[in-house]
Amino acid sequence: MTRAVDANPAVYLRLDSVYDLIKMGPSRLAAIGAVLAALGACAKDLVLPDLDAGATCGDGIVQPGEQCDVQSAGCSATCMVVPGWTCPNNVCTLLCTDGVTGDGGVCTGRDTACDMTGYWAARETNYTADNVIGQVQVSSAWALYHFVQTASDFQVVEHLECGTHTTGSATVDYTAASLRVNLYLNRMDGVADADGGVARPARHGTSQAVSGGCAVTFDRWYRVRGALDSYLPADFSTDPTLASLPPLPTVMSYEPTSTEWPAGATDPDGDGIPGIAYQVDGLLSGIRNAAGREWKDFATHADSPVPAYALKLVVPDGYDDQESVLRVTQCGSGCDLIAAGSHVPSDLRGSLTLLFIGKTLGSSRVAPVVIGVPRQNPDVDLMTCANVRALLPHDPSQPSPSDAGLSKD
Amino acid sequence: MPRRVLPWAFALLLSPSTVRASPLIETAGPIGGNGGLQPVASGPSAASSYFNPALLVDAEDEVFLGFALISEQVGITLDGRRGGDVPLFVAGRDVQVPDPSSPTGYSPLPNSVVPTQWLQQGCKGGSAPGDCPAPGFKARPRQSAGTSGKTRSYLAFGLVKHLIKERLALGIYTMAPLESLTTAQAFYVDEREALFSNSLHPELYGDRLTAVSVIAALSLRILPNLSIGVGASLNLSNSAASADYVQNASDYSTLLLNNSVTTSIDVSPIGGIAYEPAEWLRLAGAVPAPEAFDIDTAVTATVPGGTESGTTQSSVFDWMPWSASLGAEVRMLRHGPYTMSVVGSAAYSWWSAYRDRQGQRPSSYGPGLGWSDTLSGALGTRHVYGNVRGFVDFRYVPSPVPEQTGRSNYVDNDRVGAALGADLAWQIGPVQVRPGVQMFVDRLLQRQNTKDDSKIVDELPDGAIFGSTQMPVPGSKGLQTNNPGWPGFASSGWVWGGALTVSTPL
Repeated sequence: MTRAVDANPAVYLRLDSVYDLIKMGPSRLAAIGAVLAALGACAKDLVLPDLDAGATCGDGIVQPGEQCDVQSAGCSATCMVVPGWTCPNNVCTLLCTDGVTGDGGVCTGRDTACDMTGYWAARETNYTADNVIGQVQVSSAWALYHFVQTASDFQVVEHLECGTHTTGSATVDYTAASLRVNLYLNRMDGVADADGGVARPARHGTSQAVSGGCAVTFDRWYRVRGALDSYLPADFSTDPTLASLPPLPTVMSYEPTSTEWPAGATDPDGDGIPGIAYQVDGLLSGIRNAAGREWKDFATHADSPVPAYALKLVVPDGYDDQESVLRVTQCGSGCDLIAAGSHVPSDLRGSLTLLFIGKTLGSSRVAPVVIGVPRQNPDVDLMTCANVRALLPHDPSQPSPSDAGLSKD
Repeated sequence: MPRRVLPWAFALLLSPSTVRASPLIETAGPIGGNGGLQPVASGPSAASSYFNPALLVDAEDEVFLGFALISEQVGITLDGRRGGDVPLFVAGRDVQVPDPSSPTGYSPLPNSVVPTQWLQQGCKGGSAPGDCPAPGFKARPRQSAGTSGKTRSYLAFGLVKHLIKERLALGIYTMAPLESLTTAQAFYVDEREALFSNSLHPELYGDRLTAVSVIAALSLRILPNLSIGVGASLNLSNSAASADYVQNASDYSTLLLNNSVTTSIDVSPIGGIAYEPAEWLRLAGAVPAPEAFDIDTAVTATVPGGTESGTTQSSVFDWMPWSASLGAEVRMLRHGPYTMSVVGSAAYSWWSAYRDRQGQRPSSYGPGLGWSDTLSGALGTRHVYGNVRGFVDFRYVPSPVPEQTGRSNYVDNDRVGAALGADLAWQIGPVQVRPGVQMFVDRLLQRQNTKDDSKIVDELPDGAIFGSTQMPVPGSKGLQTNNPGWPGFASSGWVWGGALTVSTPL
């Protein structure tokens, strides 16, 4: 094309430029475009500063006008420190009185070496594996205990069951009604449950000084939920395995439309469906009603007692459980997965964490946690349980290697 | 011949939805020729294939090549937040919200609600209290991923060839980005976008300026002063299917995945008419069909328990409405080699049927938030002096987007613009070339949107409780939202462009 107009140098140059433009190809033309783009880039996005909306209680940040901003019994709904607590660095702890030694917010220990007498917040941590993809589920079960110790033996004189929380491939909690009724099930103070259950001897444990600290044990305790007490052992003294007990009630179909009500199943939460109800959330969502039973006991290893005077004790457990799913509802297309449940892996061992609150109901340490006399008012007891759970939050982390490989018994 | 062409044209215009085309060409205007901002009625050229095929019979046989730039400079200013943060406590996924339809009176807080602090600062991966599972939650500060301020370069190509002298002409016109051919960038325009870019994006620019389109058209003069034309733009269409097997929901590196993508060509029709009742007057009109680039993605997931679930997500890109354009060119002056004409045109566009990139209609966000149809207009002059010709045009294009007082954050502005250009026919021995230059600029007028809190989704409703303890969630009182456009935003800017062209008779 350019050769045809060689006779006119001016035109040759002009056409040659066009030819070069074509010859450069898209990449170089794009480069030219990019240079021009840089020259032309003038738009800027702006984000104007946030307006001063005052302190926002609940954002986890202590701002002017707030003394704390943390989910804790020591931090009120208006983000002020509750009397009897201190919240340095937005971490709330009880002040050091009523059986606790220390100065101000720095509590150093109990005033007795191994005596367990007093109110304790408890969190049992267990690991299960879901039956779908085998992922380890981390469960916390909370309780409030009041122990009285005589010599080396201590006994539960008061307790509240404060619910469970499970995380992993699914998040599992009691429904509101289940949480409420569970407060008073399987009571450990030697009194029969209000639903007509069988009275059992009070739960006992031992705590005694040994070389290097205190050796602590806590008797095996069987729990049943969503089924009659007859599914508990007839003789607790023999520590029977769950497999040796009569099978839990089962159903042919757990589908939402099922109306089966197997013999032996109960409806403690009053939702009209047999079993106790759990809310399952996460990648799947639904409600699972089940009958279940378990046992747990706790004992320190002979070579690793808990420290004397310690405010916080961690005691390894023995554990087994069984569950029979009776119904799944509000589960969309994932009902089978909601019903899949979990099993106890043989190589992971849980623990009981006890946190000492104080010795005396109504003291400045105990009153902010244990709101009123337990078992008088379920609304008050639920608030107490919320405080217990806040003192020992759920730890969703997967079990460390030190938890693996330990035998359960 | 007319009896054969007209039914065919009608059938194309009425053909259902599988039509695709290019908002790029609408924004750029015709590259080459003397059409300016009003190609519906003036400047017959290869670009008339798209803007009004009826004018092709009036164009000279030519082939042209153009190098063009379009720069979008749309600045978005987000108003400062005044509280309204979603508390950090929701991170525990232990929050339930009142739900009268649930037997328990509560239902879980949707997993799409995350703490505002995570969006602004991220969440460190680790196992300490407050940490997120590794590798953590990446921060997405507001408007940190805005897409304003891009300049793109394009190649344009076209030709006109009369198949029957002064009676029947064929036109081909195409415009393609030089950097990446057809990008499709989906985003949400409400609080859901907080989980992705946490930014607002101009609605009618961005990826819409990368749509490749090839248009072929025929024009027929059916009477000495009446011609009609029909064209079709050829464009890409995609469908995708993804079949997943989820081995471990918390470890997606073990995901098994089979993808299937199908790319096809779709056709969008364009019709036009031109009438010259007098030698000094041309009346013309064109009707481009609605256009969109749909991507349907079917996803199925299977888990080891045997449960399969699936869904189909439809994305819509480059949506263009039905529109009708009318224009007139009136020659006002002829003096020796100089002629001057005035051109006026108007276009009515049915934007009220708009579907956004998620396939959602704006009207679904509530009363008063649906888009409006628009009537835009342009006025300008054409000048010819010997072998030099040029144009000057001005236009006003109203935005179809109402003030964004609710959940939605469609960013768009009224535009006022101008364009000018010229080219020169140059005879060099046996060869004639016509180099040309043209440019346009649109000012996007400043616009402020202020949210009505009552129309914003309260992502943490009052009465929320911790599911595990049934205790109230601190900070749930009042409005909590991560909507990136809350409590308001403003936008303004420029869209400008230009082109260098060269053509030669064919």
